[in-house]
Amino acid sequence: MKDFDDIFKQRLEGYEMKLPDTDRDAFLNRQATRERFARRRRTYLSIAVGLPAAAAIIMALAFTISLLSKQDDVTVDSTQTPAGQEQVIPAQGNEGICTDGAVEWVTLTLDGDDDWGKPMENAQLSESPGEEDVFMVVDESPEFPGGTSALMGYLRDNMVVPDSCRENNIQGRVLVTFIVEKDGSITKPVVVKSVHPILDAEALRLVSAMPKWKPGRQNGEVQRVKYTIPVNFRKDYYKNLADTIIEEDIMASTKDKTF
Amino acid sequence: MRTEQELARLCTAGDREAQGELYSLYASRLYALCYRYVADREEAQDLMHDAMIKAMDSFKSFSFTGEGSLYAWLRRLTVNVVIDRLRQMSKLRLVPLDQTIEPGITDTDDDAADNIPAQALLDMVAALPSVRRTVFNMYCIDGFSHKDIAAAIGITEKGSASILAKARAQLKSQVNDYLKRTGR
Repeated sequence: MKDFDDIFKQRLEGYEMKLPDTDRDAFLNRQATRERFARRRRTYLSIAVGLPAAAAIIMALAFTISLLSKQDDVTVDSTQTPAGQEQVIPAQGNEGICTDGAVEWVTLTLDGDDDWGKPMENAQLSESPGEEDVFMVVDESPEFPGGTSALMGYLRDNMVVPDSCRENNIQGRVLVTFIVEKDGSITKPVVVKSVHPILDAEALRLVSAMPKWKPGRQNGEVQRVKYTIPVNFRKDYYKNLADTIIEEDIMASTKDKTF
Repeated sequence: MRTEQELARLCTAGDREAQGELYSLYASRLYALCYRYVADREEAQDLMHDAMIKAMDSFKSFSFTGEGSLYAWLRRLTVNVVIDRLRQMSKLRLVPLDQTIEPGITDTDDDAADNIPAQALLDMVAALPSVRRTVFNMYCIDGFSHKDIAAAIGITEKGSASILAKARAQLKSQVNDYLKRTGR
């Protein structure tokens, strides 16, 4: 047995496959983008947390001062002097800005209400690094290769449900939302209307295993589009067990485990 | 050329040149490794990128133990990335019926088999159903124990051994077919 394994091991262990020439740059760009986003996220996160905290402290301070000295005008003037120094919101890579609460406060009060939203918005955006906007509605919807009827056929034909579902009358309509990427691949499938854990899992598997879609377009440009499809589980579809089986040796060996 | 430790450190620091070097050194090997598991070029390429990117973040857990230890480390990390993906796609659950094998395989002539080109062997591995392919790759080529495999893909050690036996039998029949076809 060892000899037989060795034939494969020796030849395949360090085997190299040729990659497209453009792949190296694609990889390096991807990594660079990631690093940039990671940096930005750290910065914005610290602002998002730091600004309100600093604001609270300073407001309390200001309040105390205004109580202590009745000369409100003077106090305000003195804080407004650094007004000329615009925007202390940092450029990327500028970390640790929140260490000095006083500086923060000047920025905050002088820039007015409008700026409150800015760092927060950015902080939210950067939560998903490397990703662009997802469209809900586009001029040209994404499409399963062959259209909707082909999609329904695909789902029906590839559905695999254990016998117990047929016996126990488990059926229904699972709604799955996912994103059709610019290259037509499917990402982030999520069950939005659940029926039964088995059916939900199978719906997710079916959606993840779909062939590439024709991507959606907005103003002629391909875009990422969020899309929802119903996966109908009906008892009369549950006939495909003959074509595909759940591998018996796995079933036998997973008595106490589920995956 | 830099030492492996230095290369790892520079990559984490975001040194573009070092990352390029890491890619040149290991990408095509890791790509072949991923392909061995997923039998799909595009998917393999994607997984290889994911693994290398993950490596950039986790080099701090790499400790140098001698020449080649960086590759050994990368390889293990890559296998883990691949297994995660397979599990996510629940590819580790289903096997089409037509790929099950008939019993009664004759023994293989190992010497003749030695001359089969690597790409042909790779194709045979790629043709296995995904569970068998995974177990065979992990056990026979990447040196995982049945215990590791059991933990990684959620089966028992016994199950892993029995799947391996089936994978071997299927490969054996493929090797025999190949030898017959090529007249050796």
